[in-house]
Amino acid sequence: MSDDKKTRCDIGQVIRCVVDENDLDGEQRRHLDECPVCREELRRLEGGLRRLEHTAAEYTPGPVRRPALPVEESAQPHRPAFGWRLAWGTAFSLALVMLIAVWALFRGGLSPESYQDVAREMAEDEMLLAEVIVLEENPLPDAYREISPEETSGIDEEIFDFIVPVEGWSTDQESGTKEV
Amino acid sequence: MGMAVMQGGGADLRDRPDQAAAVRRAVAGDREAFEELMNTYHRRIFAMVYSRITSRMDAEDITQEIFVRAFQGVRSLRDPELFKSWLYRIALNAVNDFLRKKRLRSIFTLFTRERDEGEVPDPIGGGPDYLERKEFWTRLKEFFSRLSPSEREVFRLRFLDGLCIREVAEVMEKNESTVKTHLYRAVEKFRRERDLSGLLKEEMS
Repeated sequence: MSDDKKTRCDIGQVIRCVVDENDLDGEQRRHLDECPVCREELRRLEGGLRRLEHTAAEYTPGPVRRPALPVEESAQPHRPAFGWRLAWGTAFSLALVMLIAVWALFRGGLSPESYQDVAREMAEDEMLLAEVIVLEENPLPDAYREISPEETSGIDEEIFDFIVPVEGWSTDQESGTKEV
Repeated sequence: MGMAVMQGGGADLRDRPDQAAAVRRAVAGDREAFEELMNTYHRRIFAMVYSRITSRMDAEDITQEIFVRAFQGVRSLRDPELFKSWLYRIALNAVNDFLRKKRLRSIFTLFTRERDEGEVPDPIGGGPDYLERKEFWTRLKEFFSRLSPSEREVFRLRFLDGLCIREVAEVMEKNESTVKTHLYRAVEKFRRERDLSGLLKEEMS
């Protein structure tokens, strides 16, 4: 091999050719075409990479199951159209309800009969409320009132003290210092 | 002269008008078109995932997740011609997420031997060549451990997954010059690799 050839045989060129042969200029390509040493190196390197890919593919098992796509996503193409329809439908329904409500309220105002009915209903409500208040204060019928605690409020307080001693009584009794 | 190594897997959508049409239909919301694309890429994506995590069960799960993510996001794909790169990017992110979570888990399982990236394949599938397979993946892992993360990923995408330089650049979101630089260094290290070369099988033409 001549000195000139030695300088031109560069493994970097071979690697660059493997990476992307378009990166070589015309002279470098010609050299790789003509130089048996570089051609052999290129053949060996490219062969090694091909065998690597082949071996990896051979030693990789095949997938067993096919990926399952989410079912709800199948409607995705139609979703925007459905969404618009839903939005318009909701808006229309709300507008209709409001229109009916407004129409019912302002159809022509309330008639005098309607005012009387309302006044009567209000009076009945007040009476009912008064009964409720009375019952709330004392729910017992008259026959039971005499024996209810409210009717026996005149009993002497001493009896209560006897039944429910005041605080300090028991302590004094135990110490024997309490004077009645 | 030098040939373009392994261009087969790298055939891109610009050269495949039928596939480009399927991508456009999928982007427009056609489920059947997406399933057609899934049939095309399922095996390749599975192989891509498996070569990185070497666990068949996990690779199945991750592949499933990748296609679900792709299906949910395909309508936002602006350029249908980038479908393949976009899909591989989703796959790469899913693999990296998985490995990150696995590393995190391994911190909390000090006494459990966790399988890490590139560990030997699981015994599912067994077979007479199980030991050879195991040896191959082990040696490959050792080789990859001598590369930087960028060199490793570029080398894998180019020479194991069969993507062209432009696609590798798109997947890794780097410019082509950077990809070529990483690839150059990785190929240089591969050239000096001796342990792995004895395990490589000859192609049957």
